[in-house]
Amino acid sequence: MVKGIGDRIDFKILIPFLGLLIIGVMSVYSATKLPGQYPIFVKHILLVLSGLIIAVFFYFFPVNRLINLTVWLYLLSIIFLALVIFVGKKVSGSASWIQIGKFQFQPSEFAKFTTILILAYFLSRRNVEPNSLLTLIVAGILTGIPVFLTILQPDFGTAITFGAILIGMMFWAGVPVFWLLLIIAPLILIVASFFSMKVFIAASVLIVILFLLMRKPFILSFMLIALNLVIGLTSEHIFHNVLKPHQQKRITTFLNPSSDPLGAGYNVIQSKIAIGSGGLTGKGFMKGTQTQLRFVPAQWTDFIFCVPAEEFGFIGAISILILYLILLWRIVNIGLMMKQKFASLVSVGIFSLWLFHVAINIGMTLGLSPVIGIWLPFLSYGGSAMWVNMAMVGLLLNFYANRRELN
Amino acid sequence: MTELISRAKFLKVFLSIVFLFFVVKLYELQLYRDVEYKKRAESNSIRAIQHDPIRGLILDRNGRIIVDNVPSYTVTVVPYEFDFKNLDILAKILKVDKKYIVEKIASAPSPFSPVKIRRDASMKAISYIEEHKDKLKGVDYVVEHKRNYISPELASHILGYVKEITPTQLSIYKGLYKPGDQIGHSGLERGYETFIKGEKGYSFIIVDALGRFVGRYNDGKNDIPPSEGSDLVLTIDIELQSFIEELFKDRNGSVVVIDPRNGEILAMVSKPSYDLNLLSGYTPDSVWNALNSDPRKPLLNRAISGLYAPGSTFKMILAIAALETGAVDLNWKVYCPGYFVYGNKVFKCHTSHGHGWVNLTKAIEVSCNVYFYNLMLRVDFDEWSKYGALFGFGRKTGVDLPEELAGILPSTDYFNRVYGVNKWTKGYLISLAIGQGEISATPLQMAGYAMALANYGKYHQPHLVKKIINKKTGKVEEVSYYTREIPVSRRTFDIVREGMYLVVNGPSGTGKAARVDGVNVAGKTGTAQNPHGEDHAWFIGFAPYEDPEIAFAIISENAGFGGAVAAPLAREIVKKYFELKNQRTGFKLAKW
Repeated sequence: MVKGIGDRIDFKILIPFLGLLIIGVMSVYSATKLPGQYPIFVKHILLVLSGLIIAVFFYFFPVNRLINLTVWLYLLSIIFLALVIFVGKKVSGSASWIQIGKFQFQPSEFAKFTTILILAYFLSRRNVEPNSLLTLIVAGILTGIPVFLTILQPDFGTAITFGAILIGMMFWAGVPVFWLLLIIAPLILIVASFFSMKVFIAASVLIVILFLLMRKPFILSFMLIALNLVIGLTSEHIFHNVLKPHQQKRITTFLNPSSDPLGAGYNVIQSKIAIGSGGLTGKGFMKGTQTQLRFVPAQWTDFIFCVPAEEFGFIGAISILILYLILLWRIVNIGLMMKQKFASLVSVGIFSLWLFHVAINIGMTLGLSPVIGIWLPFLSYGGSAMWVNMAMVGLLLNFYANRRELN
Repeated sequence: MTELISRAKFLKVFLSIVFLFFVVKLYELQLYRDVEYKKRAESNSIRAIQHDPIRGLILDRNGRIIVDNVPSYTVTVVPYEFDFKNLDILAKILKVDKKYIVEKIASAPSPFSPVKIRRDASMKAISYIEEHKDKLKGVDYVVEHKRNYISPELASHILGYVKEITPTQLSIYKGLYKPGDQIGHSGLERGYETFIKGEKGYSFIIVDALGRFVGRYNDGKNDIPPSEGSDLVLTIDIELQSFIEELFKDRNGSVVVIDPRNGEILAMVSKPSYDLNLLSGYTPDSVWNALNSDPRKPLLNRAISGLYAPGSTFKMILAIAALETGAVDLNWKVYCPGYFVYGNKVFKCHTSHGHGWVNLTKAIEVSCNVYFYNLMLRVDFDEWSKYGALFGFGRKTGVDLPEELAGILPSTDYFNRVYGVNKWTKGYLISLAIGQGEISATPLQMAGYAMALANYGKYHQPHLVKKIINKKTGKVEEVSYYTREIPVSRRTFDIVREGMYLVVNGPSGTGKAARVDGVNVAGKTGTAQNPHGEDHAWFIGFAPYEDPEIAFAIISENAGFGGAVAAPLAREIVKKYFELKNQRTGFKLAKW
């Protein structure tokens, strides 16, 4: 049977992936167009090219052999993470790098990948019951170890990412949604209460909708919603009336940076100006004043989204969102498509990781979420993350290509 | 499997909600509020660099430049880039306190824009900064202008000093000035600040996020050059002014010379004066404190803020009040035995043997106190106050300087207020008759009084600025001042003026020392009692008697009798005035 190339290669993954890579290259080019910053662009190109080799490698790497290696990879990443605390290289306040000769490496990115693998490995075992408390605890510990080590660096932003991976994969593994909702709903409301009333109401509506989707008895839903709202309002009260002003300030600058324009909030204000001033069609490639004049420091890393949003405007920004939407949507479908539980779980783990990164990163540049220094997949400059993401893309394409064989 | 499908559906819904948030927010930022953000982006990258305007010149009545500007170096620091390791070096080369620099840096509105640290830095300091540019990061300098005076102590009180704006002034002139701006702090520099300061200029540059220069905006086409301030042409004759200042070199006191025909102040001297250069540019605290705590009060403009009892010079007010109200006439005489008894108090005349029988003219000529003591009791007190006020006492003359004081001219109301109704007696008034006691006036008020006497009651607002030359329009703007008529009859003036003529030219006049060959001088001596030390010597007058061209008031502090000390000074001043006038009739000096 002659099958088209579409049978071996998933274009719904490949095309958005390549599109985002190209936009990333253009954005980094535009953001580093100052004398002395050219090496950054060159390095980005080299990372993309070397990353593509890694993607190809994982595309051809037998999935079963990966399953056998999973535990070792996980242990290796834990060792690296532990190592970084002792011999790590400090980058803007936190040690998260290991330097081996000229080669720099960020173990926490590697650990994200191995955590997805080990969770998939554990949850896909035949004797693991998704709706038992023990499963929850073991998965929690497996994730907790890298979380603990990253917090020690300290890199709070990356640590949260593991939480997103855990929740996404648990959900996929069949842990009752209701349980997960019971855990995350109060957390969402507490964080939302530190923001404005507007955000709190939006979060409350979201929680209400989620509880109603559970289709539990009306009385139970109602009581849980009420309980959560009480928790949210209480934390709001504690925040405004119990916490001392300097404690409040520490949280507000974390959550609402415009209160501190030249501190942490400076970036977000500049980023919003960059995006907003882009208008419908943008200022043109290489013509974004905010970008070209470096109003957002080190824009090629975490604030890369401002560059295309400023230079290509609303049309450009929406195009990027569409590419991410297609990619992430497709990953869910791959997860659904995979008969093999491991591959299916890995897919959703990758989905959770990327969605979290996209949501927080773009949300941050738009002023919707707190500034957590995390990258935007395929756009941000950054070596370890680029390679790990490439590996994951390779793996997803691998799953698709071998979807019939994997069971 | 259906379970998995619904979970997938949930993930997709969640994914969609997140992206929906993004779309809404992008819509808000990029389509709904894009204009606002575009504006912010523009002001973000384009920074206006302020260029200080050049202050207007100050010229004397003959067009001689008294004040102009010279370039000076101001050292700036960008707080963000500055390395505090260099603080010691910087303080040393700039000759300022380390604390001073730290305070200046702390006051910076933005850590990315340069803050002025030290004005008027020495050439040596500038060349050091130039040579060590790589080490002294964030340290730079700009060329600004500072005031330059033809002679640093000449007319210092009139001109006033220019200095960096204080935080108090900043809060008053909100928005008009920025920290580090220069502003006139006293004298004409302060009074005419709005005219003389000019308009700030701006050049627009493009900067990066750290405020570093990237390029000029629109090739400098939008730049606004600073505009020069208007020039002030004064009524002062700087030669007469410097002559009088020389005359007062070793004295404390004040002289005001007015042209009675129009109120133009030809000279206004206040001694001791101060060096204007000490206060413009950078003033160390020690210098400032020394000037402020000097018991001789060099910063005080005595001509308008110095309050003295007018002494016998005030007798003409009483004479006018008496003549105008018909209380007495020239036939009314008083016998002066050398003293006057009122109640149980004895008031002395200034000669112990007395003046004998004196009428009004004689009483002015010899300055007989006893005559005026008697006269005071015959004149209604409020009439006396009324005429005092008409001649400009107890209120500001309206001279164009900000520091003027009104002095005290008592009246029934005043005494009722101070002592209470019926708590004071007529005895309180006796010493007022001879200008002593609770009465005070500035030398300028005295000169204005002399002017009105010279003028038969025409009182012109005394002023220092004749014209304002607008540099932008090139127009010369005449400044208008008020003139008022004092309702006193010509006959009364004739009598009083004759008395004043006799003071200088009469056989027993007290001001004979003021006599000048070829010019008839009229005047009145006075001695202001000074409870703190030697008396102050007064002389007020005008010349020529027939058709006055100058009126003047002279006070020499702690110098003794007016006739002995102030009158000779008047002679020198009148002589100099006519000497200068004769020199100038040959050719016109007005060049501008």
